[in-house]
Amino acid sequence: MMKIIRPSVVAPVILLLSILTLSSYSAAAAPLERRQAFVTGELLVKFKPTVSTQTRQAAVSSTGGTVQATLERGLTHVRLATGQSVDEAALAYGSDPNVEYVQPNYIYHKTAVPNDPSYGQQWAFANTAQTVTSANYSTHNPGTAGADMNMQLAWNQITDCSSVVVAVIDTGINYNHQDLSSNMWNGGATYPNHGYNFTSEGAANDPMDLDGHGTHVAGMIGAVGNNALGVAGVCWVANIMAVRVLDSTGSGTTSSIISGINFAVANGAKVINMSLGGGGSFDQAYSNAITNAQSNDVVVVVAAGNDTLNNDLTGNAFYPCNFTHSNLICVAALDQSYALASFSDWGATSVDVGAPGTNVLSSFAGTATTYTDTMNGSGLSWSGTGGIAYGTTVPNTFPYNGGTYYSLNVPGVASWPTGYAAANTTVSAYTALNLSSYDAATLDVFGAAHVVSDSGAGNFSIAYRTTGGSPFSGSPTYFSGWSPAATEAVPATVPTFFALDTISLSVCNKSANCSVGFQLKTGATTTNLGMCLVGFKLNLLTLNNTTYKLENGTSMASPAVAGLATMLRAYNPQYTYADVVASIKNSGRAVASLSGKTTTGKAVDAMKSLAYINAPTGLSAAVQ
Amino acid sequence: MGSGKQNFILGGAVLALVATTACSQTSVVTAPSAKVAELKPERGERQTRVPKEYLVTLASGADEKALSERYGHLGIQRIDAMGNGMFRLSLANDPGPQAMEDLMRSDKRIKAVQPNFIYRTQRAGGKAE
Repeated sequence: MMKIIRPSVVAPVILLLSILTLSSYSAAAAPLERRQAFVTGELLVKFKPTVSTQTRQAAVSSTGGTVQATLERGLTHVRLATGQSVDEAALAYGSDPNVEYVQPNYIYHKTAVPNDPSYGQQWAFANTAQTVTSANYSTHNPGTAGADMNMQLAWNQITDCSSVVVAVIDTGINYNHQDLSSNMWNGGATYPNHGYNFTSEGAANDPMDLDGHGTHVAGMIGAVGNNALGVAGVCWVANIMAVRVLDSTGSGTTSSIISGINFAVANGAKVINMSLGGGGSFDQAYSNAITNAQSNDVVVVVAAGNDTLNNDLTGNAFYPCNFTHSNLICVAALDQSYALASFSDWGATSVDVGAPGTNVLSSFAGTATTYTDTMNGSGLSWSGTGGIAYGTTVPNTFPYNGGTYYSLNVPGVASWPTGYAAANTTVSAYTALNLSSYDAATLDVFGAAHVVSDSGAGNFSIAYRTTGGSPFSGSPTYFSGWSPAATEAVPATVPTFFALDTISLSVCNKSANCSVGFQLKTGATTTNLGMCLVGFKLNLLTLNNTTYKLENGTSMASPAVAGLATMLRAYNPQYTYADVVASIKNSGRAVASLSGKTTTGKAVDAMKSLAYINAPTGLSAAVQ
Repeated sequence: MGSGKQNFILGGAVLALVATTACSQTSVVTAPSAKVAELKPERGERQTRVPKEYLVTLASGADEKALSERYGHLGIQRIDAMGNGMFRLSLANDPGPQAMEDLMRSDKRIKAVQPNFIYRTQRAGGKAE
């Protein structure tokens, strides 16, 4: 009986071929000659140890072939008869009871190394235990050589994934970036900017990235490889669709995301990456959109989340990771030694595989800077009504950590709580911002509206004005979510706060005369109300086409897998989503840190996924 | 998109157990840059839905006027068609997800209603600098 050998990393096809009919093989996989580089007209035939030299010679001669050489332990290098294909000869030898196995005479090359100047920093593709410079994740830097996606072997097989459209559903993409522009999807005259924008910021037909995140994700999937610029992506040549559903704060909603998914599916994407997520209730509309993708044979790859939580536990569900669609792969983040990244979520039933997610170098939308007000009077100039003063804030009145912090107090009393706004009073503070040099800005704010005693209705708001001056004069324009409620329930006798929030300042992009302010109104019977502002940080972005950045997150691990899914579909055009998912989940490398924490316990391995052959179903094997 | 006012209320609930005062003088002071960098709401504390916004799916054959008839008393400010019978409603007054579901159950023209949930990038450590 011929031994049935499971496909190996290097030579899987012919072993299956030897026990299947040629027609069934053809239905299961692409022609052999395209799949694997090997010498045409030659085979390596392994005869059983008991088979004599004469019998081997006779077997070869009976097929019209000649023995080129006898290698060790019965392995025979055979030259096939003229005109005989490797497929035909393999079937013939495979049916010979004297043969243990038969395989092509493969050709091996030097591993593919792109000439991109920063490639040496891309440990995810080739981990040589290199130290990533300017790393912002210190653990395991350097890491362990070989803890990588095994890309260089995979690149010997395929680097061009452009036959498959991959959609990056994210903050948009800087489609002009030098390492992405030639790999962007061509949306024709209808979508001239390579995708669509479903956020409320900017023009609908312009998915430009005003955060940077989506550009980083896109670069991991398909930064142009071997172009002597920057970095390489999993795919050196790609077809990337930009679908902007997250705004400049990095946030988006069910409505924008499902619109983005449906757009990608309708316009031919076969792989979708979503490096995003949210906790909370099951989202039926989101689930339905992924079902639509599944019905259209689209693979969806998503991030596991960054809260160091077990997503399987009640209350920890994280979507879309926790959706159970068969076309969805959820990805945890690994560090440079393939330990689970300190921030990464996991889940033995919800998270599928791991991929590199720390110190990941990729393209970025532009130059990002920050400005943080000192809140001690030496920073921004603040104006207001009711008086402002600089003081300090004591610990434990803010929930996230202790410490004492400088604060901007309104009304202007430096030493709280000795003075507050009276009933029926409005107090406010605002500052002017010159954002003319920036393409995008967001604001992180944190502070408190202090209530010692309140039996009436007060309200709090944050507003802006694009023409300068107090944003509360005339008809204020409030930031989304920060308009004053008509009758706001203000807790009595305790200080309440407004938590760290990130507000889009897209209305002020390129503006030299924008003002942002905070206002507290007290009710008729309200007493002892006031504000103290502790955090005021501007995140600023100036677009350019040459920036690269290190980032950490399951956001970075997800596109590594999405890139691989794209590569698999390009390599095997007949693959369904199920084939792609199986190739990724069933191959890969067992990693101790993922054991019991993911459905597979494996880190993705590009070469193993390429070599993995999904066994055809419904076929009978003729075992000799 | 900001998480908005919901955190304001949530914060009040969290602090209900804290019997102290805000904004008084002490000796050791930390710069706000450190403060902002350290702050990260836990998953359960983050805003998970857009206040006053819901996604409503009509039953097959139902007319769009069912939306105004069922939810008009909440002050519909805007209706956006999302396709496949789904509409995004922006309301002046937010009764909360449970009340919206209760209203749905009393009207067979409404097939489903849910919050417009919020999702975020999964970059570790917040916005890039």
